[in-house]
Amino acid sequence: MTNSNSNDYIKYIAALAKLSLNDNEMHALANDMKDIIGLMDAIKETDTDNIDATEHISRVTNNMREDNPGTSTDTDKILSNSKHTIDNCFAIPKMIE
Amino acid sequence: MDITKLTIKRARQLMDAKEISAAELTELYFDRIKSLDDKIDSYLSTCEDKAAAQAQEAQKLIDSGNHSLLCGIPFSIKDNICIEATKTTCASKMLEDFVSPYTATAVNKLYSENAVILGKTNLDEFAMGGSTENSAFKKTKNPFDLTRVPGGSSGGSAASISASLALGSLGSDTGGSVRQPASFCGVVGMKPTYGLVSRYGLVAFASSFDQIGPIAKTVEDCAIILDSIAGHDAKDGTSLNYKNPSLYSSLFSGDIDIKGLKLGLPKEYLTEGLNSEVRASLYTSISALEKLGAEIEEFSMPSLKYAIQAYYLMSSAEASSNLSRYDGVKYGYRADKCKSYQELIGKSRAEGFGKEVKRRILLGTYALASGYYDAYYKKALKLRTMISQGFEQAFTKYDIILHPTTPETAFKLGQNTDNPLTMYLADIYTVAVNIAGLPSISVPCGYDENGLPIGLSFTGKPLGENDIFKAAGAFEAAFINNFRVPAI
Repeated sequence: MTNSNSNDYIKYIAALAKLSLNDNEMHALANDMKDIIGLMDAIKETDTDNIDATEHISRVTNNMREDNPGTSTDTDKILSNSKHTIDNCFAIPKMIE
Repeated sequence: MDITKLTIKRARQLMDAKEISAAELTELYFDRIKSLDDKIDSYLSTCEDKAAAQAQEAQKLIDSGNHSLLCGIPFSIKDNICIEATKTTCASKMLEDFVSPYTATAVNKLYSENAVILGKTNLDEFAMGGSTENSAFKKTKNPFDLTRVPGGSSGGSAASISASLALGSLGSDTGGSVRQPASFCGVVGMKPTYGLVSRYGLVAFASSFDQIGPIAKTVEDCAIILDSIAGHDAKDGTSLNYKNPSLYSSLFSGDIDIKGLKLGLPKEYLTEGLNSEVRASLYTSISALEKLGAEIEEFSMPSLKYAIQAYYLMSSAEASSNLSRYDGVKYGYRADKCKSYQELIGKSRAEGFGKEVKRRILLGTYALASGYYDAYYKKALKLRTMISQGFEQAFTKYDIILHPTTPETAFKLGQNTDNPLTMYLADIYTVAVNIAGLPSISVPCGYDENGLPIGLSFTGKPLGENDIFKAAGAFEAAFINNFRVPAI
């Protein structure tokens, strides 16, 4: 695998995160990431082998409601925040020829 | 009327005594916003017409004698909290045109008490930052020194209270974003227990950390606001089904007795990074608390050493997931002339998000990526267990954990903008509270040689809001003669 802090690896991470960064931005962010990941690496020194992971600190489990139908948000209101809609649908560039 | 010394409690008395009407009070605040906010830049948008109508409605209830404590009280709201038919920008180019289709539960609760909403306040983009400089639109200034930051991410909210441009404010606190700006701006900021206040309508940053909290001039005012906004909400799956047996504000009906209260001070927060003036103010505060009968001792909680790393790994991982919804399709910024769906997403996100948001998304994606998940994200989750257990153990001995809110006072605008590590490390005293989901309140406790405010934090056990309100309230009563308002 490519060195985890290299520009190429950060480029790979940016692609996973769907961020189309230009070369200048990629270079600057890769430099920042080297420092940030360097700071994060401090946790490697501590032993957590016998510790359980805490996924969430919520003191609530299965917060269920009655299964009664309710009103939903108005379609026009939802669509009004999209920059491009067609026939009550969100529009995106053509995907299939 | 001098509104710089006005509190929610005092405004209530004045309105009830018919010395001022809700409309006059609202007008006073808008006059001040118009004359001062071009210096402070605390608001991103105001809603004068709606506020005037709300004030008229509030006055009818006041005249009928059937009103709540917040009736007619002017509020500012952080611009990552939704209000229907109003822009919610999160201070991001991504949401510059976004109009909320619904209202956050916390704001609806303020509405149900006929509070008056003056406008939406500036923040670090998507609440990521500690200076409000990461806003895409403007840089808010610290009312105590206009060349310095107000803190963040709720910097607009804290500055609006400090500069008397609102009487109460709602901020959000993911790693200290209510308490740190409150400390920098010399006001009171409170982060409730995770789940006590509904997150419905709060734009998600890191869902297992985010919590809406009040900012106001006094501890009692924060308690009054929390009485209004706390409570179970079926629209938030993490909302606690808990009701405080009595009102938090009822604690302030007489003198507060904290004799015998046990406070623990973590040694890990007293290291060399703590500024000497903040340290001196901390020890002066400890003496004041001891005079009130509290017992304070230092203790060690070694897991705090990794709180910064654990916080940034977990919160960024959650952010990378939460912010994946911004794809340029359903809402938000949409890049032009894209030929494919993939290009549309990639370009919209690259052009719509600012630098710090991109850093967090990259860090979070990195921590969750195959090959790094166990070493970073999962390890951070284990540290979350260790830190939570450390607090649990501390609370078997102490009622409250006492600590400085920040290692330093407000820094100069631009001083740390190119140094993300310095910014991250400055969160050292606040993030552990969010990791463990605890309640915490920051109150002014002194001023440095430049006249900049210093904050003291009281952290409680889960649902221990009453304990921290009592301790902070008693401390504030002893400190109140030293309290300063900024000369703007």
